[in-house]
Amino acid sequence: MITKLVLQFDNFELLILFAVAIIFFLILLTDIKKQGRRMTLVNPEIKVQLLCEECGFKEIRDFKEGDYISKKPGDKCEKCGGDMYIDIIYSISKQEGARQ
Amino acid sequence: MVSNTLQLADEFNIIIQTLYILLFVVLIFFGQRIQFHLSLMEVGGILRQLLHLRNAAVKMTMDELKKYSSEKDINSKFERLLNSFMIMPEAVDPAGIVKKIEHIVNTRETRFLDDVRRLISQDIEESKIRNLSNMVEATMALNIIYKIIQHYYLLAKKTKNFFVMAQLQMIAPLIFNEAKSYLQALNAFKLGTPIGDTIGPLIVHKFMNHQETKILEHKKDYVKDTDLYKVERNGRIFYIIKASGPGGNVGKPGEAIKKVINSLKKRNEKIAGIIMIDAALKLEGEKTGEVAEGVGAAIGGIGVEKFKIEEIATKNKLPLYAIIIKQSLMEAITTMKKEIADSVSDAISRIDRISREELVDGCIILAGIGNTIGVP
Repeated sequence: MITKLVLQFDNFELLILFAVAIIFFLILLTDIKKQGRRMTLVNPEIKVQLLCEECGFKEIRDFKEGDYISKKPGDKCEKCGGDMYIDIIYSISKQEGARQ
Repeated sequence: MVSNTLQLADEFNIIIQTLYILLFVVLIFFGQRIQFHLSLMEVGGILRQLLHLRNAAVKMTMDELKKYSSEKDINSKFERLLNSFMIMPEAVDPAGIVKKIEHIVNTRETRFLDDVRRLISQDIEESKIRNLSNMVEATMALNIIYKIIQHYYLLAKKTKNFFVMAQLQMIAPLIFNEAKSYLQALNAFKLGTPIGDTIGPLIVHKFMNHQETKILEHKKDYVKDTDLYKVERNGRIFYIIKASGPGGNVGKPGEAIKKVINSLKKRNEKIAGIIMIDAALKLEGEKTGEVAEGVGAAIGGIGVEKFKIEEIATKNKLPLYAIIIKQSLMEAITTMKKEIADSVSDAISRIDRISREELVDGCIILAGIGNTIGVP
């Protein structure tokens, strides 16, 4: 009965158009609703690159509050025991950090 | 049975056709209104997000201020600071407007820093006070962004103006990204880490602490919040200008360049030219940390410092070279990315090349422009 009805129905394309329009409208509404949801910001990982004054040995560690460029935080070189200073401070995204 | 089915199909066809015509009529008369309500929903969502960012920024800054303050009514004092404003001078008669802008900006800077100092009861380092004032400024930026978007949203809603709402809908996602950058910037200011904009001061700092460079003289606070260094490198004299660090501060590079040129002229010292290094906004698709060279005054801001540099360079016919390090707005105000930090050696080699091949006769003035947070 339904097959016959569909076969006889002249505006079948219109029905599909209707259904597609409703689906698109629902997608648009969901998209707009998403805008209102609260988002979370992920702070990047902050790294400090230390250099040895004596031998140039490089070491990377996490940033500590109070660190700044050229500061001598008191860290000693693993290789020669010389004083280390902060060469650069930089950020990497969490994904990059995980890859490293 | 067959005739019943055909009759049912006919009725169904009529219903669908009527609905189709109705849809056209609705879209013709109410299309814009439907679009308006969809835009209203979208912008409303972004506005709620902006409020969330603004509140997060206020909380973060207040928590940081409370660590160093014993003030009881800190909330109201902070709210007063948050809503403070600056009125630009009248531009109907533009002659002498730069001096007026400079006066207003200086008054605002001094008052703002003093207000932040008054909020803090503990004796803390100047660099920390600078970082706290940077936090308050980023919070103010978020507050004003939220207020402006809210203003146009409510105005469009009240007047049912589709075109105001359409403009808002187009611009709101871009503004939202900017607002996210300001919130992330707060974290950098709180910790005191170098930001993308610090690349100018960082390059000149690395340049003067390089093994081939010898520092001959250091004048702290040569002009307000700005240091001057006289260094020698490869037999050439450089006068290096950068904001005083490691607190968040941009200094007065224009005033410092003007002062150093006038003083060198008095001593009859020949000046080969000026090299300015600054962070610059990249275009979408350009690589972060890319170094480029050009001419002109590489400096942003309200325009006072740029005007002074251009004026003194033109008066003395001094070539003005610029080296820029490309980055996005988000990268410029958040903790410096590795790609930006890696551009230091490239920039230093370009300074060396310019001094060797182009600015060959006389001393060179080298200015590292930008916020010097995290760089002494």
